[in-house]
Amino acid sequence: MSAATHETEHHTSLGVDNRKLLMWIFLASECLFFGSLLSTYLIFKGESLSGPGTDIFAFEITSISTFVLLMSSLSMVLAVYGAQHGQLGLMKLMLLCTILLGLVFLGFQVYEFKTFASEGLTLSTNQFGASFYILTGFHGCHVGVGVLYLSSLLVSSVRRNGIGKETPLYIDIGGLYWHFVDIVWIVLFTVVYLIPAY
Amino acid sequence: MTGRSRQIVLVVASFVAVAFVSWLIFIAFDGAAIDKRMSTLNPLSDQAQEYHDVYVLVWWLSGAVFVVIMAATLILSIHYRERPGVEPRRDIHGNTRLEILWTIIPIVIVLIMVVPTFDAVLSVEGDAEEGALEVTATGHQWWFEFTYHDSDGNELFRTANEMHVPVEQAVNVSLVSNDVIHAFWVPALFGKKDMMPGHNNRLWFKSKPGTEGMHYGQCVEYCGDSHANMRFRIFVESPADYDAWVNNQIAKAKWSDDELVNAGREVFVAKACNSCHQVEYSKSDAPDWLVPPTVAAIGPNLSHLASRTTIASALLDRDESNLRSWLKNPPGIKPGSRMPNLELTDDEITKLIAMLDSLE
Amino acid sequence: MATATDGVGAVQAEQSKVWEWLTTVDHKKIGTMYGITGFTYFLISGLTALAIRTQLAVPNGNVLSAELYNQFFTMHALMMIFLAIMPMGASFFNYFIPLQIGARDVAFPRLNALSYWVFLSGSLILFSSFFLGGAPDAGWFAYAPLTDAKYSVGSGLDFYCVGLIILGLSSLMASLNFAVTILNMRAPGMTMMRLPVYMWMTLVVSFLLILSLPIVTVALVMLYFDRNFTTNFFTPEAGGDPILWQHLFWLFGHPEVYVLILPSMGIVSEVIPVFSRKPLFGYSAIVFAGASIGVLGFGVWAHHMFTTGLGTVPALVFSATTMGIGVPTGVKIFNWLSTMYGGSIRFTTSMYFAVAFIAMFTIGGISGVMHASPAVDSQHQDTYFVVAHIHYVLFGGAIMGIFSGIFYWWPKMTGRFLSETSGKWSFWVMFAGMNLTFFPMHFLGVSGMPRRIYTYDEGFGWDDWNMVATIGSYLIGVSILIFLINVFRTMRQPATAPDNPWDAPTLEWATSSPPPEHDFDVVPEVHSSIPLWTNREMGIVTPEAPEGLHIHLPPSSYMPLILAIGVGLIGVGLLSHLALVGIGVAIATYGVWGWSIEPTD
Repeated sequence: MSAATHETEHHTSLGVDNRKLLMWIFLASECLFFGSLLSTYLIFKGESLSGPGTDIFAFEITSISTFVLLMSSLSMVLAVYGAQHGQLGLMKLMLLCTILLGLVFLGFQVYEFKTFASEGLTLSTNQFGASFYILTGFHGCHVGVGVLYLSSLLVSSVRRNGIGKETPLYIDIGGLYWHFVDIVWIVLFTVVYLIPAY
Repeated sequence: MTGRSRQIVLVVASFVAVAFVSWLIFIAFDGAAIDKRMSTLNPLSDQAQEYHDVYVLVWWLSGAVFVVIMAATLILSIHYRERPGVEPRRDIHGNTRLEILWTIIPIVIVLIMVVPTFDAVLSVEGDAEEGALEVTATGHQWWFEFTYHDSDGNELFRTANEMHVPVEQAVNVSLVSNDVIHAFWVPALFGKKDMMPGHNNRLWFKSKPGTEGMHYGQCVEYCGDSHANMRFRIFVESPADYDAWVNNQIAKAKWSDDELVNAGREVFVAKACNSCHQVEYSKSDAPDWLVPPTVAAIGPNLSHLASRTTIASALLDRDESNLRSWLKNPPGIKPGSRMPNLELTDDEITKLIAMLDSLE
Repeated sequence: MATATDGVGAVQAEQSKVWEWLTTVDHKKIGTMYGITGFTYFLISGLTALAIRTQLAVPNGNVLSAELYNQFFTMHALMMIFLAIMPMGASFFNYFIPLQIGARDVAFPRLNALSYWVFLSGSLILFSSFFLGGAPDAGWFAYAPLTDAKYSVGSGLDFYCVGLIILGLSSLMASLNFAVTILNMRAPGMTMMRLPVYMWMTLVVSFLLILSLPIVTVALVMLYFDRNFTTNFFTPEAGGDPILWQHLFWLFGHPEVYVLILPSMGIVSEVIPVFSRKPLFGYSAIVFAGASIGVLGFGVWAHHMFTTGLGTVPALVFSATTMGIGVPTGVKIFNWLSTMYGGSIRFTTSMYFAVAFIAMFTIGGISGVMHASPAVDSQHQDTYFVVAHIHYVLFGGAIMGIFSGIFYWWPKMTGRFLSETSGKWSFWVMFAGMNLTFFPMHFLGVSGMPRRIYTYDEGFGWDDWNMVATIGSYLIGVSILIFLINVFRTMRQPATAPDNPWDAPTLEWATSSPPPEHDFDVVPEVHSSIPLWTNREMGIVTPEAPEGLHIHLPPSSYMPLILAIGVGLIGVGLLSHLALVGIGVAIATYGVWGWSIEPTD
């Protein structure tokens, strides 16, 4: 909350709320973060001396988890819609769906990591393994943080006073983060899984 | 004096002062530096000369910019000091024509620098001349190993610390690292180039006529504890001297039946020196002498140590007293040295020195 | 008269001073803490410099062992860059962004406090390495594979990774805060092209950090993994590549040097017009030059890698872009000089430092453009010529700019004037010392003296200039002592400075010295980039504050402190026992939870 005189509606120079602007700029930073990880992956995936390569991917299963994450973005859009139109019931339900779908995605990812590990691909196996795991691992962490973030919004919204009159803004900002994480996954899925398969 | 002439005196005096200071700086740069052992202003190869020519151009351009800006700073500071009755020109906010001019002039200066740079880099970084001598320089923590190749790329011999090349002959040096990043640099002959583990860097140079002599080099990429101590020398020689040196290096280590030398060999084996250092006696001289495999040398090849002028990667001259200090406590001279303190007695050292001195 | 209310009512008089500072979210107090902490590290790092110079005063010196020397030169750079210059920059950003744009605080006061406490955590972790097994000793740039566990045994490089990641987080949070504040909280009438130049530089710096810190964070994570989790990102034998480290590091490292210099360029752009008593020459050009330096700064990084075997074409491309970036820099220099032209210059200590900045930075810039040519660089790289370049731009530039700001803004921040006499003494001694120390390094460079060497031999002709440089460094030390004495004596004077002692045009001078907690009673109208001068010319008077004006300030909070402690413990845990990571996460979670539910009105 910024310091201001007694207006409840803060005037901002760009017309965007401070917190929303913060999220946008933060996401710019995150683009560079994932860009560096993705570049490292692309540089190293063909440099392994031994061990499994992209042939280890179970493309069909990952497609499912990708679909799940895409659906979670849809439920997030609906949650934002609900918040913006005063339909708090819809908002809470859709938040819950997003969280659950996110958890399913994470579940798939854990399953995938465990399968790969049992098939002989770990962090230390080769260059492909190391760069694959830190790229998708950090993405998974971001999904996890997103799940915690949306959960705290959901918990606040079901309490007696709810989130308050800035509910649409908070859900909107949460949506920005969630959609970003999803878009990063689309890029990752395409570059890491899809393109080598064809 | 009128105000006008005061201004003129100020401008002239400022330029003179700055020019004088610049001249002093020039003397210091040029006069002091040229005859230093590692001078970068004394190019003795065609490649170093090409780069030096770019440097000279850049230096003069920089000098001109330096004089103009220092003089302007001085003049403006003095001339526009607050004086009673003189109002500041608050109306001045900019001057588009002037701003365009002083954007274009630096661009022109940059273009003047860029073109010779491109030419020089493309020339020096290009392939070596036909028939270049092939040497591989390997950086180790903290010494330089040199492997000479014949024209088919086969290994002829290995040595350390000192590289010999014939004058006016192109030399192609492949740069390899055994561990971390090192760099290969002899200012008189070529600019530095990194020895990058996992990569194949190279450089080539051709010394100018009349540059026979010893030239100093050093590792110039921070490589750990004894980076400061990792040095080497390049000897530019007449073709005859060079051939003699090569033949000596190719030959097996000289055998001496001297009693002290024999005792030295016993210490050499007893203290396991031969687990890191090769001394390649011929089979006919020493049928039972163990020569470790030549792959992945841990320490320098000592077969012809006595033909070298330095020890400990050109840190010390090779003489009795330095050999003694080194053998007594290598890490004391070269912190972090992989050669440990073997706790040799003075007697053992005397014997070893006798053996090492025999390896001409 | 306005009444300011701290959220918890009138109880504040009974709060201890210490608690007040530990829980403050006031940008001025946070700025003060950054400044004191940063300056303290500046002094400590200065001591490492003196130790280095003492070791190098004579050939084969034995003041510092090789091991200790290598830690000292590494930590000298790390401390100066991350613990001194950046925090002192942050100190001024914190203090003056709201004041210069006519706001009452930054966009996110608690995030601001968090940035400071996380900075303190990270700095303590990095600094403590000296006493906990040895500081990092692979250079501030930490080239692989020297930094691998195989060659850098011991925990120094782990402290490096963890410490810098935490410091990076702190800088990122601060930069996000400053960017939102400057973009979104400007006073009515203050368009972007009416922002003070210092604010523009701050904005560019914030974006440089926002976009470059993630890259080095990835590199540091990969290094930490290589050292601790048997990955091989930078190990050539297993398919890794040391060059990748260099690219990732310098993609951050080069924008970072603009982060170090642009704030001082901003300060100088404020100071010179004030003491020349005329507006800045070519405001738009300076703004565009600063912004283009920021953008181009992302296109020159491989000039640090000319000798790595990049390949001829990449080397030439980066050479061209590097020379190109000298053009906007030159534009700024000409504009500052043109500001002095036609002025009525008052040579206060602040002005001395600002004019010296122009001259010293020019020298550093010239030597930089010289080795923008790979032909020249191949004989300069890793010699003392580069050391000379660095220190002319960073000491002659960044540090002298900071001192200019210190003497300029001291009355505003403390209500007292630093002594001009003592100030001028410290200036001249510092100027002489600085040039005596670093100019001879150009000579040492062209005489072939490599850098990062703990000793050198006689016979190479480096002895004399090294001795001169050491004497110069001691002079610098003396000048800092003079400055410190100036500070201590000044702070014992009463705070009597008026609102605008220098007759400056920017908004921070439209409130008392020091400002009240709420910064402004009334924010003046803004019709230009020099509002106070314009308003005077146009006859616009800022009204008195209305009776009973209630200004709501954000309440203090200890959650930033808690969260920072949690983050610090996570770092400490990564360097010692993983159990501490768990405790750190728990504390951090409590901090985040408390933060999100506490009232902000």
